[in-house]
Amino acid sequence: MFASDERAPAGAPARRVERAERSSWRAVVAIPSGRIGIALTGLTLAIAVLAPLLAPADPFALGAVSLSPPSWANLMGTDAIGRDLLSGVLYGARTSLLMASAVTVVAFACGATVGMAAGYSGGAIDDLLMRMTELFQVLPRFFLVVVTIALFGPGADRVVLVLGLTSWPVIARVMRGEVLAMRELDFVIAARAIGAPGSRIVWRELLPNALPSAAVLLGLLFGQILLVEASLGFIGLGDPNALSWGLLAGQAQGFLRVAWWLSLFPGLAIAIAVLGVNLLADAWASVLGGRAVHATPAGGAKGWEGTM
Amino acid sequence: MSRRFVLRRLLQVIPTAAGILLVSFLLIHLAPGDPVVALAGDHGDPAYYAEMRHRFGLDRSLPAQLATYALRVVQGDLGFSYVQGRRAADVIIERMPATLLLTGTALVIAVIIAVPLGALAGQRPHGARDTGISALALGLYSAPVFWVGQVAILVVALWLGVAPVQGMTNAGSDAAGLPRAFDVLRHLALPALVLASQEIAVLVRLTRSGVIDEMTRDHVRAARAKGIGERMVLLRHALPRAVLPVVTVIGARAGHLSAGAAIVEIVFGWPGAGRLLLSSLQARDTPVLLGLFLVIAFAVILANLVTDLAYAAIDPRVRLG
Amino acid sequence: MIATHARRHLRTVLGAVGLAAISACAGGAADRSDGVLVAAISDPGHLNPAITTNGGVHTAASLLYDGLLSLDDAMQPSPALAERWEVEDGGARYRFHLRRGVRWHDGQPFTAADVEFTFNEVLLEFHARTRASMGPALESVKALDDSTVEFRFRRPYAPLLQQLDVDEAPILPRHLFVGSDPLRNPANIAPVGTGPYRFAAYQGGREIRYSANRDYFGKAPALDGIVMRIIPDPATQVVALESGEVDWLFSVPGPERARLEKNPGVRLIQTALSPGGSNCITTLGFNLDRPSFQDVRVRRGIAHAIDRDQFVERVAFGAGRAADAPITSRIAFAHATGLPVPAWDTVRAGQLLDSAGWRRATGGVRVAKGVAGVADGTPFIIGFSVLPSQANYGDLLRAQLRAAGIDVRVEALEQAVFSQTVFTSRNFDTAIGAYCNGTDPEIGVRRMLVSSNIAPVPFSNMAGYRNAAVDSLFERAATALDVGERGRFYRAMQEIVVRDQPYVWLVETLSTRAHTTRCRGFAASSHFAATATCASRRR
Repeated sequence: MFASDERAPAGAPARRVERAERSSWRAVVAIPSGRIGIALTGLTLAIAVLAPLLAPADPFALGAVSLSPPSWANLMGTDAIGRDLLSGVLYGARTSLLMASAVTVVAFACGATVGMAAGYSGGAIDDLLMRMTELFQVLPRFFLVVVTIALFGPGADRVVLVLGLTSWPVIARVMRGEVLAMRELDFVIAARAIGAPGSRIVWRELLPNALPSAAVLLGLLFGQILLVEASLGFIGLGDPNALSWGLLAGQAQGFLRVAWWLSLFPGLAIAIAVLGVNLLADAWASVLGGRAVHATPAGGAKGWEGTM
Repeated sequence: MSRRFVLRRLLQVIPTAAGILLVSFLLIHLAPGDPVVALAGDHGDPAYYAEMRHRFGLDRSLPAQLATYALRVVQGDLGFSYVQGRRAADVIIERMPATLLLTGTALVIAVIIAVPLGALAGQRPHGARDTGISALALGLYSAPVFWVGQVAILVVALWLGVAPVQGMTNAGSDAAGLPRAFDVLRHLALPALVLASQEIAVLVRLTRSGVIDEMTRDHVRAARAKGIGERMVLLRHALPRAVLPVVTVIGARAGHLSAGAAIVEIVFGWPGAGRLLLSSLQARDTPVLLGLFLVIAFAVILANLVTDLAYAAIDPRVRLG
Repeated sequence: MIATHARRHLRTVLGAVGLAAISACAGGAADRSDGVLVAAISDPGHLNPAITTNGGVHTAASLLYDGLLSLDDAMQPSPALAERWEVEDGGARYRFHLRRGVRWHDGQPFTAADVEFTFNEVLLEFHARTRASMGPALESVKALDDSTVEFRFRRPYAPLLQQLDVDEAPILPRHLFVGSDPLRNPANIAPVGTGPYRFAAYQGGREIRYSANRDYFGKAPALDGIVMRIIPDPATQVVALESGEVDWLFSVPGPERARLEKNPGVRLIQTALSPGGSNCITTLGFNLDRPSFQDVRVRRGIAHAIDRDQFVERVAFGAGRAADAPITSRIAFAHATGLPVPAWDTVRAGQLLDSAGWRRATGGVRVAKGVAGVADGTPFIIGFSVLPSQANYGDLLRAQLRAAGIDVRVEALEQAVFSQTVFTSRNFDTAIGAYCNGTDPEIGVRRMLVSSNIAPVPFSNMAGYRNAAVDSLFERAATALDVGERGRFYRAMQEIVVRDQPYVWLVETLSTRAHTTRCRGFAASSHFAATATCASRRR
């Protein structure tokens, strides 16, 4: 077997993906909601990255006035102990996005592994893995996180772990579907024919090609995790040392009527960030068109089902 | 519906249920400290701990422990709530009617509102109507449910004053029968709408894409060719098949719905399982917390089972799959 | 203006439509008996106040029961189940003569056997404060006959009369509890007491109903009954009060107080009583087992970095005063004035921390250099354990100490976990304690300072503070019978403690009750509604 022979089938799909991706991005931008999604997501990311530059104050430091309504000095007002809310919301983006990213990474790692293993192996292994996926899919995630925190104490690590380890089933299903569909495609058959090992085919050929469909779900998942984090903050399970949007929203509760700004702005920040990724995922799904429909029977909407 | 499909689907429940029991068993064992504390709460006396340890088999080998624990739970024995000194299962079951009423009403509202909206949006995709409806759905779906609830309280209950702020009935009301039903209904409206808002978002999108799909199918084209009006085409030919997936999604979203219900109950002081979750959490009443987890998990399995069977009953294609 | 007008108009129209619709469909649903509607923050779970010091249970159950004595709003003892009493042996023996003809709500007669049983089998076993304060000094509680009870102590015990009210020592019916496990007795959720109200119904998570006890030995209640609505969210409680859904709140959240003060339909009552005790001081305790806090310069440095006035203003929202002594200003004979309490002085704080070896480079977090028991280069990060409801104390402390180069990590722990972490396993750096002083330093101050009370018991000596001179001053103050003499011992004790600074006393807190003007005659104490009356509800 010659090296050049081996490279040819391996290289082709990779290039194909690259091309597809570039054109997909252009297609996403072409959709109005896609543009808004990109803008909102970009804005959120920029805020998270640039928080130290953008924030007018140390988010933990005390200002002169407590419970000040929005003013030129404090654009989003101050909280009960006099901290600048705008700085809190800007820094909060970091914690919230970091947590959602961590969950997404864990979920993707698990989902991709299980899904591709199931799809590629087929047969009994596929059956077994899919049963396992069903089990994880019906686990009530939110209640599981609450029980976990009750038993193990609060902390971001366990929240990420529990949410990550329970959020992968939808991704596994999509990856499996993609792999099943690709298994009999030319370039995969070619790779198999030349004796490329299974793991190599999976990682080099199938993963890159299945990724776009999974990306839709990862985007939706990202948004859901932001919402779960907010809900945990709301019921008082947030980490008080890490400013996050959920924590801010939770702290605002006692001030619903005396300081509307305390609930308005963190809630808006969450809504905008979630809206951004949802729009983006949506636009991406409609660009993938037939492929997304094939992966998620209801044209992308199905990915919404397994939340919380 | 073939008997084989039903049987196979019923059998699938067993490994799933076993898995959930395993998860809760693992939680109890991985938690820091003595497993019996996780199971019985940390307020027991030695005699009580000894009893619980024996009852749930925690004094035996690990596999035997799992077996005993599973047997206990399947029999509905979730231990004792140390706060209330009663069976945890009783404490939980007492709260289920309120939660079921809230979630059931929210689902009905969601379907009633979402299916027509979804159909309208899907009829002319990317039109102005579609854009408006889709934006609304996505907006609702993107906002945290507690936030929507708080805004609803501020605007509808406080500012406009047309709904009570909290609770399930007027305090101290002794009304029974029809007046009581109306009293509950009045308190139910706002929380149910807020909870429904999340489902509406999903169902609108689902119905919309279903309708878009169906409108291009042969039977719809044939109907059009026969000169049937656009509205009749939508109602008679496209919509009935387009809403089929809605049935499955309702089951798949049971977990989400229960979490949303918990938050909504906390916001609106609705006396269901979600409120119990919060108070047990604050008191670290672990038997009740674990019990709630198990009950919700089994409820989700059940919801999935029922919707799958219902879907199969409606759509003959599934039975073959 | 126009917008406001339009809004009001819209509200009127919608309100009218809504009301019409509601009254049309609701019919008699809104029928409310002539009782009072009150709001409780937590579902108590059970209604036995003798087996717990949980504030939620006491809030819900106190009306059903009585103590031997009762305490008025000024915390002065007056007769309740006991009609009169004698103090003998210089305060080591108390004899109580019980009121005759008192009956339990189920018709059984109340006797001295109930008192003896309740103390010996229940209170001294399960009631954390009574067990901790009275328990070690108590020799026996005996019924001498049907209507006389005698308490014997090992040493003179001055504060007993402050500890016999319905919160500290509610009396249970022996005939229902004898021979059972008090923690799992059915009467815990269907209670039978002697109190001004009888138990009527308990709907878990929703409401508890009470009916007036027409045979009450005291003044029978004017109200027909009470409905206690469980509303877990403080902000929602306020909304419910303003909309007239409830008539009484046990506690108004600080931020809402200013708004409610302006509401002509609402009256506020400020009080130093709380369900957990009275005259509380929110206190920061240093864990003296930790090397970082063994140096008094560190403790004093941190105390100098704390602005107590800001705590009063931004955390207590003005309800209270900055604590300036270990004993509350509300115990006048024992409170010491003019003590050298470290004042807010960031420069002084910096000097003390520097000299203790915690150096600061450039405005960042201090690091250790030559601190005994701490590796050089360790950043000065301290944990601060709080209850979730006190998280705002943590936020403000973090902000204040940040300016002094100390990083605070707030650990919000639920009540049960907090007790376990702080008092049992002592796994904390600093922690918060709302130490309720009560009406005598013996009740609420002694427990946090004497070395014999370093114990795995909630609200014991949290700091782990040992000072033989302080121990002995407490002994002498407890047995001295002259108030002036006791005051002198307490003053000497406070001077030492303030120098050692094992705690930083932050805020003497007050809480605010509120009621609608429809009702009047409420009291801040446990039997809050015993004498209340309400005008009939106009709809």
